Amino acid sequence: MSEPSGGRSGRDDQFVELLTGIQQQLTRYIRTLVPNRADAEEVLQETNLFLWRHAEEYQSGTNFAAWASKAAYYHVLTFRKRQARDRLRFSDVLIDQLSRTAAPLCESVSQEVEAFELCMAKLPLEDRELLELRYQPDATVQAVAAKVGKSSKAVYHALSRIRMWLLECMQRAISRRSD
Amino acid sequence: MSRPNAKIAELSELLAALCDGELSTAEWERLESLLIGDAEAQEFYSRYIALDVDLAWHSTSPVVRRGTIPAQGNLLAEPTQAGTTEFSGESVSKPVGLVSSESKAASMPWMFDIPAKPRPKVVIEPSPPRPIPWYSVNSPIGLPLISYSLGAIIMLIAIGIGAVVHITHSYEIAAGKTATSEEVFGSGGGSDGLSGALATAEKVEPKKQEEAPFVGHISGMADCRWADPALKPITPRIRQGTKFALESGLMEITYTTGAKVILQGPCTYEVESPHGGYLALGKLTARVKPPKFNSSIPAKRSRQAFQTRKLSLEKSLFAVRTPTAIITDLGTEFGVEVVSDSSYILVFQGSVNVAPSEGEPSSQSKTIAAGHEAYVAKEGQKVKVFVKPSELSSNAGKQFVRHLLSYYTRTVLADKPVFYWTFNEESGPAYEQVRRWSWQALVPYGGATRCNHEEIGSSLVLGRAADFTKASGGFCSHYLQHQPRKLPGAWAVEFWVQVPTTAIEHRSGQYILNMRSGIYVPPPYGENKPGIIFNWPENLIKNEVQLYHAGKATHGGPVLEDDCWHHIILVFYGNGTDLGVAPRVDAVFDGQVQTLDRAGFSASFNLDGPLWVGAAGQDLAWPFRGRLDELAFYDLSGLTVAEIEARVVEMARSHVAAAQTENNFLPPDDNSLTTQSRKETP
Repeated sequence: MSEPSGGRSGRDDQFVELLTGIQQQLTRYIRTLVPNRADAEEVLQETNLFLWRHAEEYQSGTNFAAWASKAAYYHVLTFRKRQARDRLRFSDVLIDQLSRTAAPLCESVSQEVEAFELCMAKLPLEDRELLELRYQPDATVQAVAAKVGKSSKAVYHALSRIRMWLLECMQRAISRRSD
Repeated sequence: MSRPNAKIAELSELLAALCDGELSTAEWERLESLLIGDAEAQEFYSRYIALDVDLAWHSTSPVVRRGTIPAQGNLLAEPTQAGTTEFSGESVSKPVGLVSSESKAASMPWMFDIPAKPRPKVVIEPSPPRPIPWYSVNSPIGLPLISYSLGAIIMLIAIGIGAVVHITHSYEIAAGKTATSEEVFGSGGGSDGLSGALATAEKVEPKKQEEAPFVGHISGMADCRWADPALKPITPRIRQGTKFALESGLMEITYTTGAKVILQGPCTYEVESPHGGYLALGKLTARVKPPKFNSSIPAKRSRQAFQTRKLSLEKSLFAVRTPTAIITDLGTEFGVEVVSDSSYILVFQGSVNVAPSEGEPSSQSKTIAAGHEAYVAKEGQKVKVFVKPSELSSNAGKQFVRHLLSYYTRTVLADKPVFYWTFNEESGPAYEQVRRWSWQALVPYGGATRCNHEEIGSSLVLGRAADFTKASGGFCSHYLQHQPRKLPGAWAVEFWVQVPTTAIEHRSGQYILNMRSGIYVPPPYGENKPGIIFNWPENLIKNEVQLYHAGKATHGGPVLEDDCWHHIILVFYGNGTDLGVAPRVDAVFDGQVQTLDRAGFSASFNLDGPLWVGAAGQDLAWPFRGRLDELAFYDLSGLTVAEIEARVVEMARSHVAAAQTENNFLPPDDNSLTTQSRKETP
C-alpha cells in the first residue's frame, strides 16, 4: 500500500461516518422498493459494499445521500432480476414511480426522525411496549400475542392503529414545523 | 385520530399485513393496483414503510431500551435460561453418536502435502504467553495496513462501519481486553484515543477466577467424557477463564454475545472472554451472527453516535486463538482444528481473517472466504498461512460437527425411524434426519412456515415446528425414494400436533399428511398411501384424526379439541390377510393406547413418492390449519403383536419425556448439570 500512514485511514473514518449517517435513510429507500425486510437487508448489504469499494469515486462536499440512493437503486434492480420469478414483487412501472416518490422523503429524513421521536414520546406506555415487542428481531405477531396474552387478531389491529396514529402525529408535527 | 378516507383505510390494512408478513398474493396484487399511478397512495405507502423502518431501528436500539422507553418489566429481554436455548440448525454433517471412524482419524490437511502428526493426548496446559500484537496501533505499519486490507470484507457482513480500526486487535477480542467506550475514544478520539485505551488495557491485571464474569453457558452436551474429571463442569454458566478438556463427545457453548462454539472431543479450550477463546488442541466449530447497527439517532452525524456504532461493531467481533493462529470472525461459521503446532481452518459461511499468532504477520494475514480452507503452520522459524479452495461437502467439511442434535432427536433416532423430520431449521426445507438426502427434505409451499415452541409457549423442548396457522400451505418432499418402495408389514407414524382453537377456526376436511404414489395419478389427489386426515366432513366425530386410504378411514381415533400439543403414534399392525401380523390399528395418544375401528382401512406404507405434509397435494387442497412437529415413520415389520405393542408404548413414553426435559440436550434425569446450578445467577 503506497498511501502514507493515516492518510487512507483518515479518509476511511470520514467515509465511514458519512455511510453510517445515512443508514436509516438508505434502509427506508430500499424498503420502499423491496418491501420484504430480509430482502431489503440483503440489498442494503450489497449497496454498502459497493459504496465502500467505490469510496474514492465520491467527491467530498457533494450530496452523499443522492449518490448512495443511486447506488441503492441500481442494486434494487439487480436484486429484482435475481428474484424475477418471485410472485410477490412490484411491477417495473411501479418501482420506477416509487423510486421517484421515495427520493424526496429520503432527503427530509432528519425532520421525520425528530417528528417520530416526538410522537413516540406521546404514545401511551402500553402501546410503546407493544411496538417494542413487535419490532424485536425475528418477532412475530403470534409470538407477541402469546406474550401479552391477547389474540393475534387483537395485536394485529392494535399495531395497525398505533402505526396510523404515529403517521398522523408525525404529519402534524412536520406541518407545524414548516408553517 | 381523524377518519381516513376509504382508499387510505384500505391501504393502511394492506400495509399493516405487509409489515407483519401476512400479505397474501391477492392482497399484494390489490396493493399494486392501488399504488400504480396514484401519487397520493404512493406517498402514503412510502411514509408507512419509512415508519416501519423507524420503528425497527428504534426498538432494536440498546440506547432506547436503556433510556427513552420506561422499564419494560418481564416483557422484554428475558434472561436466557441456561440449557433451554433453542438451537437453530443448519445442515449437519452427521448425527451425534454416529460419528464415523473416518472423522475420528487424525485428519489434518493432507492437501497441503504436509504429513499429519499423531494426535497427542489431551492435557490441560496453560495458554501460551500472549505476545504484544504486531498490529497494535503503536506499530508504525500495523493500523493502516490491516485497516485497508480488511475493510472491504468487513463491509460485506457488517456494513463496514468502524471495523477498519477494530478488526486489527483480534488478539484483544479473543483475550477479553476490549476497552470501554471511554477508553477507546477518550477525549481525543480517533486512533490516539485507541492507542491510549490499549495501553490502559495492557495494564489491567487479570481478574481472579472467582471474580471473573459470566460470559456464556453450556447450551448442549452429547456423550461427553472428560479428560480430567476434576474439570467436569458442574454448572452450565461459564465464567471468563474457564477451561474445558473433552476426551470425547460434543459440547456447545453459547456466549453472551450470541456466538456459539461446538467443541469436539478430544479437545482443550479456554473461554478467554465474551468475544472468543483459546483452542490449545482439538477441533471446534464457531458460528457468529452478523451484527446489526442500531441507534436512536442514526440521522445525526454526531461523534457520539459514530462512536457508539464503532463500539457496537467491536463487541460483535469474535476470535479464536490457537498456538499458531488468530481467526477473527464476523457473522459467519467456520471450523478450526489444532494438531500439535499447526492449525487448520475451514470457512463454511461468510469470511474470516486468519493471522499467525506470531512471526511476520504483515505479509501473512489473509482473508478466507466461504468454501476455502487455510493451514497455518511453522516453517522453520516463521509461521505461514496457506489458503486453497475446499469442497465443503468433502471429508474436509464432514469432519466438523456443525449442529448439535437435541436430546429429543437423539432419542427418536435411537428408535431407528425410516424417515424423520424435526422442522428445526429456521426456514426453508425441513431436512430428513436419517439420510439427509436433498430430495427427502420437505420443501415449504404456500403459507407453510415455522414457529418456535418457546415463543408460542408450548412448554415442549422441541425447537421449531411446521406452522400452517397463518395461511394455507404444505411441505413436500421431491421423492422419498426408499428401498424397499413400501414398508412390507406393520408400520407406525409418529408426530406432535396442535390445532389452535382460539386463533384458527376448525375447517372441515384437512390433510395432516398425504403419502403419494410414485406413479403420477391424475387429480383429485391420486392415491393416499396412506393419508392422515382431520375433521373430515363425512365423519360423525368432529376433530378426529384418521388414517385414510382408498375410501376407507379408521374410526375412534384421537380427537383434538383443545389448544394443547398432543403426541400421536398411529400404528398399523396389518389387515389380517396379506399384510402385517394382525387386523388391527392402534393410536397411542399422549402415551395412552387406544385400539381403533379399522373399518376396512388397509395400506402398505408407500415410500417411493412425494410426501405432502399440511395439505393433500400440490394444489394445497384440504389444507391443515394447525401445527405439526417431529414427524417420523417406523418400519415394524418382522415384529410380533406383543413386540409392536411394547415398542410403541416405550417409544411414546420416552419421546414424551424427552420433549419435556428441562435441558434441550440432556435426559430428564441427567444430573450432569444440576437444576440448582442452572438457576445460579451471576
